[in-house]
Amino acid sequence: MRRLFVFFVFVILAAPLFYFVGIKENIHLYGVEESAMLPSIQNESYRKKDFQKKMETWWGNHFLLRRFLLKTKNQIYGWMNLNQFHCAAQNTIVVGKNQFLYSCNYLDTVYNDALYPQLSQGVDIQTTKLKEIQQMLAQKGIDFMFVLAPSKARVYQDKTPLLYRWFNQNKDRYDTYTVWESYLKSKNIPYFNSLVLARQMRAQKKYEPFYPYGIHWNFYFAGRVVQESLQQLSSESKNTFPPLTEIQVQRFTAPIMSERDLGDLLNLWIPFGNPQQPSFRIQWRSESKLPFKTVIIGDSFSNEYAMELANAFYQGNFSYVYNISNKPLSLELFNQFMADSKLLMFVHTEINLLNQATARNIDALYQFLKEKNYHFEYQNWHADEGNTLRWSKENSQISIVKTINNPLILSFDIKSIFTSVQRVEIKCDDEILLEANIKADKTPLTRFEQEIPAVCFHEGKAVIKINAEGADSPAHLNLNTDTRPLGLLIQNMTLHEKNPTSGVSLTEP
Amino acid sequence: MVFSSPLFLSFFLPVLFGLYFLAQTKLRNYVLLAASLFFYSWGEPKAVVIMCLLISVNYLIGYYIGVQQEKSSSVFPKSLCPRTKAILALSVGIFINLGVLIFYKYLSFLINNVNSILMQMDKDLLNDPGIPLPIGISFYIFQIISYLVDVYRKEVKPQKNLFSLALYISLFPQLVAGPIVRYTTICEDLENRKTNFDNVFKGIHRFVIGLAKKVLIADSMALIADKIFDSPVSQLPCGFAWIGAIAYALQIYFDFSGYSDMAIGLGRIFNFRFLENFNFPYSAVSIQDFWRRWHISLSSWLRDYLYIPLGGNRKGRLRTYINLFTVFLLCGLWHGASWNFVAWGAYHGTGLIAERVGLKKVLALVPPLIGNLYVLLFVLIGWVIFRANTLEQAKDYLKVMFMGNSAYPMNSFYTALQFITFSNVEMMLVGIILSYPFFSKWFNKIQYKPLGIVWMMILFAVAYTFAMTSHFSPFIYFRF
Repeated sequence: MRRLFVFFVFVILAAPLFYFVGIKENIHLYGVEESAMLPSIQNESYRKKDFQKKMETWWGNHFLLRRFLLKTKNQIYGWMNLNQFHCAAQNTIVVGKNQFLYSCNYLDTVYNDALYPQLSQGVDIQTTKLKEIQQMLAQKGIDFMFVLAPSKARVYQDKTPLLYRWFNQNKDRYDTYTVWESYLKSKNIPYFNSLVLARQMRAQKKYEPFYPYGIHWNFYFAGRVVQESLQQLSSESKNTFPPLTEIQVQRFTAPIMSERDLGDLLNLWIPFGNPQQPSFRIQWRSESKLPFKTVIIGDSFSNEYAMELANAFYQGNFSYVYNISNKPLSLELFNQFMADSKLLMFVHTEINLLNQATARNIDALYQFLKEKNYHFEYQNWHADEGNTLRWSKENSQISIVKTINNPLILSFDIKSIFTSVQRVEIKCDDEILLEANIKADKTPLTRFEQEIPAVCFHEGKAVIKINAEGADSPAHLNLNTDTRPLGLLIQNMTLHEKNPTSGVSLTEP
Repeated sequence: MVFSSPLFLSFFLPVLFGLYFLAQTKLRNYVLLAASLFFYSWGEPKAVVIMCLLISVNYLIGYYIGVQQEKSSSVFPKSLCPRTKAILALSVGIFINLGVLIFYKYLSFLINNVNSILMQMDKDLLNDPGIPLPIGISFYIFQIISYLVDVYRKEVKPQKNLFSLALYISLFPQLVAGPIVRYTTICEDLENRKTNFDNVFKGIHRFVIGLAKKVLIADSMALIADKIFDSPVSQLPCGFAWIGAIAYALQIYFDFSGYSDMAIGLGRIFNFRFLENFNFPYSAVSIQDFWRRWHISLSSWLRDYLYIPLGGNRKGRLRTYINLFTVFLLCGLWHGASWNFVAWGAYHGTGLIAERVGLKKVLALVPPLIGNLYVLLFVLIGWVIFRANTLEQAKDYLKVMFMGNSAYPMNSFYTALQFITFSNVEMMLVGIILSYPFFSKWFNKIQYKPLGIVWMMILFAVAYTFAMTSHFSPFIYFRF
């Protein structure tokens, strides 16, 4: 038995080393995760402990059995009644009453008083801007509506973890939705507060607006919000929507741990709670076309909203922009999706109403409408891959077309696929504006800000040439199967004036 | 490289085991020495040079002291000359070692304190060079000093092989956070040791216990303690202040005793026998008893190399109290260059004096449970002083603990709440139970039997899983 124990320990200790004989796990990265690179050892980097840190990170991400152990650890936590899932999700997940899962940042918005002191001030600034936005859009014949998406922690506050409720008995606390609603109402900005509808629906007990393991509203409820909000909009504006009718409410049993909901993020071996949960979705009659181009800008809740809007009409033209990143939406993007639109909707939930995400989107739209009317023209670039991400070919060029020839600040993120350093020059009229060395593929994107002087504009057009040393395909570089010759990746390209006048300030929670 | 990090567990350790056990017996010390130097240089690439220099210098000094002592006992039995030379060499050795320790550990502290005086006098301030503290320097310098003193006292012969002395000082299991291993303890093992399966088994067994203590209990407690101690004291309700203090008491015990278990276990795998460092300190019934059970290697070091040379309790009551207070003041200072540590040392010194003055007699009259509650209360207050960032914070924290914080309602304290979840509370209860020797008899009985081994395998699998998938969490005693 003793020998078995020693053997068992030695085998487990040594098992991850099999990575070096080619036995590797598939590492799935999600979203913005970047895989750590194996560092190269150099005297200086070792002396400064850079190598050691990078090596520990790399090994921590790559050793064999990592995924297995991660899932096992989460499972053990699961058996211990769950609490911190350090590696399963960016945010911690806690379990509430009746096995309702909550993401901690949503609980924060309900219970953390520290978030509130500047709320009114911030909402006042943002709604003032929204009012101006609404008026500017109205001059163009575009309707506007702000949809306040509900937070699970607000709708199911009674199911939040016991300890949160025990220690938070302050009934007089005002909430984000009340504040937003009061400002939107007082400034006469069209809005739809779906928290009210969610609470009503819950009280009726027929359908639940959220699933116990989900983070977002479910499709059924999102559909109802689409229906009600469009109906309200039709009654308040000239642009009317045909009434949305349904064939039936489909009931089906969906496996949990799907769609990357909280249950899925727990990353467990044995499914958490009831492995099958009853789900609902409206089967729309879809008789009408979406009568005009609609633009939806929002956070992750806008995903279900946009999908239900698309399902409710048999045909239509709408743009959907999902943005909760730290980067503002680019004016280029607005140029693309605002053309010919008749309705613009903002769909945001509480966490984003409190942090900078909503403010950034409002600010970007405000800037576009206020300063507006420039666009980029691309030559020798691959097609837009979404979210303003483009790859250059060789000798690529960007033209900034703008009516007023004032100096601007051009900002963009850039990266290269080359494992060696790629030299880049950005020129205007053959004058070098920016020279930079862009490092290898897996380093994060580098953000540049470059002033484009007024002299660069000739008849409202500044031609910016971007010369990279070369273009090569990832397939050729053994990175992936993409055979396109790629030079540089440019993303989140934005323009702003040298001394911007706009800006909403809300403290990050 | 932390013992509970993926790189150590799944890379350094298996590779070292492979190299060590495959190497010829005569080469094994060299394998261990190379591994130890690599281990240290990984965390302290610059300070490894200082350590190597200290090893070389102390090797020469120790050798010289040994030669002089030999002369004094054999050739010139009544002559004072070689003995004087030995004393002189010992003094030089202690001066060099303490000089290095003071330079790296206390210079900034001294300068900052001098500057605060100069500032009040409106004079020019001294420049603080901001020298980083090399990991483990307090531990290995104490080991070196004990070596020199023991050679001087003729308790051991000086090590003639530089590499053996280097291995003693740099031996990686105890290098960065103790226990403070005396040369007398392992001098035999350095020269003659054979691979023994029983030692490998028991070493791994002990290592697993330490790993589990660290990653399952100490790290869970750290989440609570860190959050509470890092929150503004003005926002702490009384209850949370107590939870924070208890969590920290459990964290520091399981963190440090876990590390000591891992060090003792690793030493045993390589057939070194280190002495125990903890013996259920929270079950003590007096402060004196506590210090016989807490960080035994440090308290016994201070007793043998400081308290007794100062006169111990042989020079009257007053002198005993002064000696005790001095020793604990320095014990506090050893833990770090901060007034908090000095105050913590003084606090414990005062407690010990109080017991000597008469409290001990009172404690002897009450049931052990009362004595234990007194120790727990005393130690908890001490840990608040120890853990707080400043003395001011410690004072405010203790005020909240004992006088409450009526200015703020419970709901103002939200941030710590999210860390006090069921599994952390479970772990706190487990930690409290395991702090007492309730199950030690039963555990000692079954630990090497099949049932105990199966449990140990499960414990290892769980602890290993947690260690390999957790964020970086260094041991508390690394900073000392």
